[in-house]
Order: sequence, then C-alpha cells, then structure tokens
Amino acid sequence: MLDLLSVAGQLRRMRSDLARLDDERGPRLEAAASAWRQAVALGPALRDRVLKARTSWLVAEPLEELRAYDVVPPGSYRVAASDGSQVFPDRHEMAQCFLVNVGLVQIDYRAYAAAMTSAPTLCWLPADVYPLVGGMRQEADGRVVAARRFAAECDALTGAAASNDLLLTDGTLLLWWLDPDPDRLRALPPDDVKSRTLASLNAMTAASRDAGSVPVGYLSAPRSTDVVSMLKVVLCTEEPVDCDRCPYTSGKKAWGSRPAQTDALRMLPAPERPCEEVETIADAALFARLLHPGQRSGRFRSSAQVAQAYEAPIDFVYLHTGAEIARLEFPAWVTPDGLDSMCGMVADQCDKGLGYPVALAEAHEQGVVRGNDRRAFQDLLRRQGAGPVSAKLSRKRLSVL
Amino acid sequence: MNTVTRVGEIVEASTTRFRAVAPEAFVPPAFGSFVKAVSGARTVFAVVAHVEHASLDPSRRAIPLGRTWEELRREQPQVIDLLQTEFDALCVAFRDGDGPVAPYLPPVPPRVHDFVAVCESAEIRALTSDLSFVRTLGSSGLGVAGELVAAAIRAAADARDDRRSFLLRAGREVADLYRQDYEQACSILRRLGMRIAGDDHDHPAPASVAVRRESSR
Repeated sequence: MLDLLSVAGQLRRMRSDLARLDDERGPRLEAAASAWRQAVALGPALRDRVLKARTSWLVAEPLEELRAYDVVPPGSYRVAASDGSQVFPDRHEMAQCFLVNVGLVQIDYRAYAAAMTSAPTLCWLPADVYPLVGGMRQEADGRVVAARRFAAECDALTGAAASNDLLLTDGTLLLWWLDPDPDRLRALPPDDVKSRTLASLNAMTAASRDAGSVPVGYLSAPRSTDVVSMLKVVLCTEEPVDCDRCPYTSGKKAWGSRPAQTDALRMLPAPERPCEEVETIADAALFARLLHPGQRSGRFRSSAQVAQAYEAPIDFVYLHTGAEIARLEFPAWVTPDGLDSMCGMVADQCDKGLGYPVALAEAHEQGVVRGNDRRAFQDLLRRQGAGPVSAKLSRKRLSVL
Repeated sequence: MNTVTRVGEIVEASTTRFRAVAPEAFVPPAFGSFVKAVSGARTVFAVVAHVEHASLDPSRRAIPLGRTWEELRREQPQVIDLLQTEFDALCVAFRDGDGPVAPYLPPVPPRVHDFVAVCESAEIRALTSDLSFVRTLGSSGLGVAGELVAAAIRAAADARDDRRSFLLRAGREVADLYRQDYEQACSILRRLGMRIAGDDHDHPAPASVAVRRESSR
C-alpha cells in the first residue's frame, strides 16, 4: 500500500526544491537567449561552425535563417493519424502472448467526413514471443512490443498515405531507442524485430512521398536539446569546436563564471565550461521565448545517428501551437512549400483539438487499451487457454484476509 | 418482418425493459411510440420510455465547443461519429410466431443484439386494443409515467381510423387507473386533448370524458 501521507510530505519538499531550481535556471535561459542572438548574428557562418564541430552531444544543423516564421492557415485537407497501445507479455500468464492495438483516424475536411477504426493484433507465434532482436533470440519484452507497436502504427499510415495530405504519428521518428548504431541496424537480417520496425517506417515515408503527402512525428512537451546544443557550439570559445580537446576539461583554461551563491545551496553545479552556461535548458523553453502562437522556428536537421539508416535524414521545426511548443519531425525530402503547408495543417489540427492534434487525440482514443479491456482480454485468455497461471499471479488476484 | 425500419439494436435487456442504440445519432424512435424486438420466433412489443443523446464512450463527456452544427460538420466531422443515441423501451406485450398478441410481459426478455423496429399499425392495434398497456406503463414507476401513458395512447390512437372513439375508451381507462389521483388523471387526459367534468384547467379541450371525481367503486 502506498503511504500517501509520506508521499504528500515529500511532494511539499519537491515543490520548494523545484521552485529553487527554476530560479537557478533563469540565468541559464537568459544565457541561451543571448547565445541565440549571437547565433543569429553569425549568419551563414553558423552552419559552417556547426558542421565542423566535433561534439559529444547531438547538434541541430540550421537549414533556414534563425527567426520566427508565421504559419499559413491551410486550405481544406485530409489528415490521417495513428496511435497504438499494447498488453505486454506476462510470464505469469499461462499463455505467452502480447497484444498490439492500433487506432487509425482519417478526417477529410473536404468531404466533411471521418473514419475511425482500431485494429488489434494478437502475437503468440514463437517468432513473436521469442523473436530475433539485434541478432539475438530473446523473450519479447517491453522494448520488443514497443517496436512492434511503432511498426504497426507506421503500417496503418502506409495504407492511408494515398488518400491523405498529412500523416501524423505520436512521438519521434528518430528511433534512437531501437539501435543507436545505423551500420549495425542496416546489417541485421530482415526478420529481426529492429529491421522490421525500420522497414515499416521507411515504407510509410516512401508511400507518403509517392502519394505527395507529408509524414510527421508530433512531439508534445519535447525534451530534446538539439538546438540548445547548437548554441553550445556558439558559446564555445574554441575554433574549431572539439569536445575531445576541451581546454576546460583538461585544465588548460578555467571558466570564470563562478556564482556568488555558495555551492552547498545550489541545485545545479556551477558551469565549469562556457557551454555549460546553457546546460539543462531544453529547446522548448528557448522557443517559448522566441515564438508567438502560430509561429514556427526555422528548419533544422537532426544529427541523430540512427537516421543514417533511413531513406532520408530527419528534419524538424518547433511550432508554437498556442498551448505549448511542439516539435515536428519529418523526412528531409519535404519541400519548403510542403513544410509550410504541413505546419499550417498541424497548427489547424491543434486548434481543432484544443491544443493537441485532434486526429492524434482520436487515434489515441481508438487505440488505447483501458483497464477494463485489459481485464476482459485476460479473462478471454484464461477462458480459452489451458493450464494454470503462476502461483504468484493467482495469489495476487485472490488475497487471503 | 418485411419492410421494417430498424431503429436500434439492443445492448441491455431485462424482464421489464430493454435499452437499444439507434443506428444513427439523434435519430431515435419517438417517446411513447411502439417498437418491437424480434428475438428468434418471438416478437416482444415495447414502448419507448426514455431517449438519451450522449458520448459513445462512457468515460468521455461531450464539452461545449461553441460552434453551430454547420461549423461542427465542417471543422469537427469526427465529433458526430463519437456521439450516439440510446433509448429505453418498456415491454408491454409479445407474440410467439404468428400466434395472437399476448398483452403482458414475455417469459424471457429479448436478447442483447436483437434489432429493434417500429411497429406497424396493425400490430399497434392488436397489442393496444385491450388497453392493458395503459396499466403496464402507469405502474412503471417512472417519473414521467403520466407523460408516457399519454404519449403511448396518442400513438395507439394514431394507428386507428376511429381515433376519437379509441381516445375516449383509453380516457376512461386512465380515469379508472388514476381514480385515487385526480390531478394525474386530469393531467394525462389534458395531454390527450380531453377534459374531465370539473377540471377547471384554463386550456379549452375539444373532447370531454365523463368521469366522476370520486371513485365509482
């Protein structure tokens, strides 16, 4: 049982600590805003500096002038969105299996029509529950199911690509969690879970390109720091930037930005390098200062390594939806006009969805497996299956009082 | 059933009533109208007693969107697909095969997923001729029992050529049923376009039923 009184006491302490942390972050956000102005002043030289930099963090490559861009309202359009949910495998259940449920929503604002469906897939074959993952056979775990779910979301959109202008997925298109090494990913056999997931993503973006639609990964509350990392490159005092030869790490140089506050009271360590002046600031916090509702950032290219295994690099912009700063990820082949119209459609989706794309929200509603459904699924499994569940599971379900 | 209009599909059923979902949102059968559920060889007749428009998903409530219906169709076409219309119907009679209509509750309720259709005029005449539906609906315990009785009587009268004589007969049944509740009797009869002798309600009425204020028994 959860001791809520104890949790409440800890929450009070957390609240006051977080308020202090916000105070300490204030100057760092100022530093980021000032670095942004320096970056703007660099003009085209910024891109050269970024491309020459050897850093230990992912740095966004600027593809457009650093400024706010007004988003143009879209004409009538057709949008498809998919979102999935799952029942993870449970080794205490008698039958080893898992379930992936994908919601697909298509809204046509030309014909004023909507189609909302969900498609469950029950996976029980040995190749499902004991699959090849990164070249090794292993029991299907949370990551395998997440990969299968992402692939199923992509497959649903592949089928919808021809009849829609915008294809929305929930979350990043950068599958760093699948495998950070693009060469290893490419070398895997086609029946490997990782290869199949990548193949589904590639098929979706290819179908979208063929159909003239735009696939977008929509990230609400993004925590990415690619653009702030680009500012670290601006703040670095070295030419060229090379983290492996950092003079502040080696002790050749000292960074003099020592705070007046005593270290004991600080929640964040004092910056010991110029780049650390903007540490812990996320891109979203920066763009919340730089963008007004209905504006987007310039276009950037992600340097995430996994994208090297893709058919095209992944670009992104930040969009002020009115409710938050969202990150939109899309393939590099999207044209400037395509980007404009895509941002217009996404902004309109957020308007219609009270801050979050309405098609994605409804796809979630279609795809979600709620507690009741989960229990009903487990009951069905038990009624149709054979053999007992584990002693631990049956004890959990029948307490002795 | 030949040319039936399907107005719903049963999602819950009990001895006395069933709940059905209309195939299209906002298109329910009328309150007080006669419907039937064909459950295998048996047809169960019922009266629509409650209609509800709400979210398809019980865990989601509709929220005010500040748009006209035209704007909603244009800007939020999915919203209409997420709403549904449900109705409750009180069982009043049944018929096995081509047999006669039995004007009382069926031995078992219709099944979940049985379709619900509007009754044809001949069926309504057959199941309402002995007026027992008036008592079944009157004793339903619903807050709107009086309204329901009146609406069902009007629907039964509409299925007849001799509307007026049926209304008079049903009016007497109402007066007898509510002989201990003069106000309720008056209220129902007014809803049938009738007036009881001694009812001093302002509205003029085209027909009147001779009913004594006290019980005649």
